Amino acid sequence: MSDAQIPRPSRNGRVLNPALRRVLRSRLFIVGAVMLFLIVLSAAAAPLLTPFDPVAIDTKNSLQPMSLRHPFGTDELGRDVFARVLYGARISLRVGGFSTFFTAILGVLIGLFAGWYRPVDMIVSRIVDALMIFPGLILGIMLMAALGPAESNVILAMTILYTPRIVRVVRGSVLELKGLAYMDASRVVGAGDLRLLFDHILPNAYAPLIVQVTFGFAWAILTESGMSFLGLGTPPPAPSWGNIIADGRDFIRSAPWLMFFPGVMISLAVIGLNFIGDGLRDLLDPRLRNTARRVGNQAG
Amino acid sequence: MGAYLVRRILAFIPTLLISVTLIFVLTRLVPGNPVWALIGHQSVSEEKIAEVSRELGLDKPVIVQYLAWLPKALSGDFGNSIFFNRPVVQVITERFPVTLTLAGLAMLLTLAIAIPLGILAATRQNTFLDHAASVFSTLGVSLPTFWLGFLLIILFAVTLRWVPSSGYRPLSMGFDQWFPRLILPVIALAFSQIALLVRTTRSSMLEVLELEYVTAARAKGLSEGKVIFKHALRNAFISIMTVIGLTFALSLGGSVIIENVFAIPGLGQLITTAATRRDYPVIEGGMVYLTVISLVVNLLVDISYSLINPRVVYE
Repeated sequence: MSDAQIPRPSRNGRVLNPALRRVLRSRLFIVGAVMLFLIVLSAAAAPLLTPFDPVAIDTKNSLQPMSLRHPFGTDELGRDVFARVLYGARISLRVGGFSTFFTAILGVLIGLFAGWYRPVDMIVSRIVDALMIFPGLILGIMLMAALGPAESNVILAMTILYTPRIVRVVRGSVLELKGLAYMDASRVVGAGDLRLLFDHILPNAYAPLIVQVTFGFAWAILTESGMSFLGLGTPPPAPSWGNIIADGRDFIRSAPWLMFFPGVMISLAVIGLNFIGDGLRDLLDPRLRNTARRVGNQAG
Repeated sequence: MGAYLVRRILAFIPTLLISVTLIFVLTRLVPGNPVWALIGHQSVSEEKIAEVSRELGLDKPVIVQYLAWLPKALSGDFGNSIFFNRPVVQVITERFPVTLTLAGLAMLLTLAIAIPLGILAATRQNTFLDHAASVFSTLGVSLPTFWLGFLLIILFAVTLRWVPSSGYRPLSMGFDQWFPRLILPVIALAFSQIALLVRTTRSSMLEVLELEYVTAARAKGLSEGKVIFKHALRNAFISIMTVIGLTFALSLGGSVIIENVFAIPGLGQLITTAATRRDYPVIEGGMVYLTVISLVVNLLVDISYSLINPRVVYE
């Protein structure tokens, strides 16, 4: 990680490359990446893996147990649960992916300016504090009640929920870095605020940012499933892992497989992403690799 | 440091105002006329709607509504619930103890399991126990809480029939009515918090155990137990405290899901159903209650953090 911490007049890619190479040697990262890849692959190849339509109703075959024809059984309306879980992966990953993407962009922009300009910070930090003290899903529930159930609204609600965390991470990096001597040096040779922020601070803030964004993706998949479970997320009949479980809750005695398999998929996706995040953190975050250097940075 | 404390407490006031204002703005974004939710969609004349709107003060401009609402909200008065037709404070105070019980018991279980397990994992680094704890803590933060709740119901209530599957009975009906129904929800709620706290305890213990003063304590011949519990643990508690405070706020939020899974009539369930019924006063009241508690916990954590960790520089 020392490579990324030592300020160099090189472009972003160069600073990260040695770190990336190390990441690829991490077992945790590899295992997580393979898990996620398999899930993405099965979502993409859903039409090849099952002949069934995830929303096709077939009431004659409702609540069938697991069989070769229906590996995960069928639900109350006779829909094939295996097909719903596969196609549900598309929705869950898409909603999680988009909200993570928007969160990262917004979080970086707001975080950079909040860390750099004191007046911006005064306002941003108050709002971030206010947004972050709403416990867990409650703010999401309110937002979804206000916005109405739609996939785009789930993405919007989750972006509002998670952006403050990214802002905190980026703002923290800026505060830590802007007092270092190389900032003065760059300024002396004529670098402006924007150049300092985007060329000199942002590349050095990548490590905690990437880790936080990875955990954010895992968080988004979990949160989407929770909101859909409460009936405030992705609206039916479109299958998302959360609302497939919600469909199955009335049948946990007679047909427990309905809620079992989508839960396994959520868990695997989230475990995979957490492994990737852990692997990245172990390799990228100097706090865990070398505590002494971290303290030195703060003192500097 | 004293100046920092004052500033932090003063900053609490705008944060409180902003979050309470956010609650107001967000609930008023709800599309659809709440009067419909109150008196039903069909066969209502325009005059009737106008009359009820006037009674509720919904005909005035939003800013006027806000200025009238804010002082009342801060003093705990949210008016009457549209659905229950009773003061919101009454409805909330009936349910709040249920949620606090759930979150409190989950917190106790978390502390009882996570801190010993975290210390064991740190002192026996890279043993089977350490690896098991780390697998457990990854699972804990990765499994969806509601799914875990259903698995517990299927295993312990439906198959083994050890405990009832859902519902809630107050303690006044007797301990044997109250406690069995709380076992599964508390375990489900505590699971992810235990995972978080095991991880934190382990890593902060490991960090402290490497410091020179611990080596010094060992060198002067103290027993390992004394080194760990009297010297290392105290220092490690700085970050452990932070996480304990945060997990309490998290468990208040997590109770929303758990109360829905186990049909427990708490504040979380109240807010979820109020959201689908557009019962503004109840949503607002419930949110403000949870928010103020979270805020206070957050403030205490912040203050204790700054008191204990002088390396953090506050400008």
